[in-house]
Amino acid sequence: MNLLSWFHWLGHSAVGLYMQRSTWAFAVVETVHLIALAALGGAVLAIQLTSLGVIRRIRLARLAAGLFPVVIGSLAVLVVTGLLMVSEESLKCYYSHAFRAKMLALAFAIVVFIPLHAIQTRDISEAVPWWLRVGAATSLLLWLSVGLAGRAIGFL
Amino acid sequence: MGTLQQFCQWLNDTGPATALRESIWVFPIVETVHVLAITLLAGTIAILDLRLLGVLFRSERVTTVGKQVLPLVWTGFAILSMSGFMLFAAEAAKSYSNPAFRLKLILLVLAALNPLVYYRTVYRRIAEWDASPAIPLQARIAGGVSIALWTAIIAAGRAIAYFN
Repeated sequence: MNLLSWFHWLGHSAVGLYMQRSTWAFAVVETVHLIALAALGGAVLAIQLTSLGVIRRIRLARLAAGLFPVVIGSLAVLVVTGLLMVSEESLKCYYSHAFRAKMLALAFAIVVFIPLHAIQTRDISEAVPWWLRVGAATSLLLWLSVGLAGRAIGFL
Repeated sequence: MGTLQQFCQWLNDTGPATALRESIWVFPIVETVHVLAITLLAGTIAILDLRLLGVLFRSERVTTVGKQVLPLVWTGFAILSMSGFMLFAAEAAKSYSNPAFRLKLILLVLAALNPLVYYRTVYRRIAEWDASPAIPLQARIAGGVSIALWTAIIAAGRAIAYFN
């Protein structure tokens, strides 16, 4: 099953048909997506800005560990609501450059986040090494790209 | 026409507001900045709210969590109020009669009153419960109300475009 046929299938699934027919479902799902974005963005900003040494009141290891459930929980909500929105206009998304860019940025953001999280939750010394700062800045830029590309789906 | 409506119409017709409304790229850029800055305010204040509710960072002092997130919250507030005012000015005449916009303004006033009450009452005795896992009910209510209000503000903000 190639990618295009998967998008076809999603658009013709029961969920997809419901999303296309309903007047309010898309608006509600989009709003929930935005609320989860606020939660994910807030947690990621707090973790990475602490890694960068912008604010250091809570120890990085504790902060990164404490906010991990927020990151995972909000990301789960974002993926589910994201899939629902794609099912409403699956082919438009498949051919959208902004959507493709967003998925690529999302994949990179997650791939960078996993090892970064593993390192950040270890009790490292107070001085954050330069390579971890680079990692934190990269993570912020990748998540920002996800957000910008996501916003662009509506424009392009 | 009421005074408020006259003001909105006047603002709407000023040069900068008209230029912003008629711009091809500046308006969507300001809108994008506004949407992404939500993370800085609502997403970070939620961390403090969840501490008050006893969900996150129970072993950290409330004041420590506050010092960790409040600079981000205020940065977000500065960006959101500036970009928000620009967006409002560009569409002031339409916004005046937009029910979602009106609701959002009421919710914003409530979201401003909530910390004012919190800092003037239960926070005055913060030394007694700062490190305690048992947060006073009033402080927990403030945290819960804050999360509920900011969630509703995001929803109302999104709905403005549906009513325009």
